[in-house]
Amino acid sequence: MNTLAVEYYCLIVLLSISTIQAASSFGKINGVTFFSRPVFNYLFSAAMAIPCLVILLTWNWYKPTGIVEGAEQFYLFMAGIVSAIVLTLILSSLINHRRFKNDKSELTNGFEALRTKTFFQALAIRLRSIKWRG
Amino acid sequence: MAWLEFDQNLFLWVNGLSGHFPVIDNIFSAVANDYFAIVFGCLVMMALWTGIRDSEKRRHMQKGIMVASSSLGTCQGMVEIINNLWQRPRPFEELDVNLLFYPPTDPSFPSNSASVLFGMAWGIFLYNRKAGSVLLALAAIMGFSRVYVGIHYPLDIVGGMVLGLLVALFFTVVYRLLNPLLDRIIDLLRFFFLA
Repeated sequence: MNTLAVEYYCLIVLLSISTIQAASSFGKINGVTFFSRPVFNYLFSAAMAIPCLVILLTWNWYKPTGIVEGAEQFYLFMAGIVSAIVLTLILSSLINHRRFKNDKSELTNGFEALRTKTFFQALAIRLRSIKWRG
Repeated sequence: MAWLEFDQNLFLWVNGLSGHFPVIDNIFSAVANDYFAIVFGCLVMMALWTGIRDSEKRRHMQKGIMVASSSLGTCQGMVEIINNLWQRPRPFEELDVNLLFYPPTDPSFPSNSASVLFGMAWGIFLYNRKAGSVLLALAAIMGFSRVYVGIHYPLDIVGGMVLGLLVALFFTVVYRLLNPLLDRIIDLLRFFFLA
């Protein structure tokens, strides 16, 4: 991969992480946020997103003919989003593990479950509850 | 043809506005770039997927995001097909223009960026008027910017807008017919806490 592609991929990962953090805070999905106080989460998101958006906005200025072609751009974008989701779920589960360790609330479906549990705590309960064949 | 002549004249008028105020030229050059608007639109979709608190409203919006994502991908494919049918030269290849952007090499009609962004924006608009209006406004500004900087005719942008609308309407109808399937997909994602 060339430098432009790597730079584009990194920007997408950082922007996606910051968007997930801000949206999770707004949606009160506490198990996915990096900070327990929403204000810190919003500040963290803004601190990551604003420089990345400025770089994207000024891309054609400092690289007048340096573009990532359409198909490559699409694959890099998808890879960036998936990487950001995986990174967010792993990091937030590590950060919030102790906070939600003793939670006894019933497991629901969807993002609602992640209000009182981390992703991996919820997933572990869900997988244990499935009756495996054999 | 008269309408192509009108399109060229309209282009020359819009493009003629450039070159007088460097600050405004720089703003439009930035907005016209290949990445910003589309990435911003996708981030808005991601925020809408995650950030709605009410479970049923979120489900409705997630169906809208599926429409928008399908429109985005399909518009990209449709543009390639249309480009093969009509290889309209870029304005800077035919006319004396103020070119404020790098010269793209693909055909002019319809604008790829405008089609993709309008497809996404119309898809969201059909499910969420507020967010959709923001994205439509962004698409319109980006479309104008691409004419202003000299890389598209106005008809290329209008073509992209109409293509985006038609594709989004098509997927809205198809996905309404497939509503039970969409519910099953969202239920599966919810089972694994991803929706």
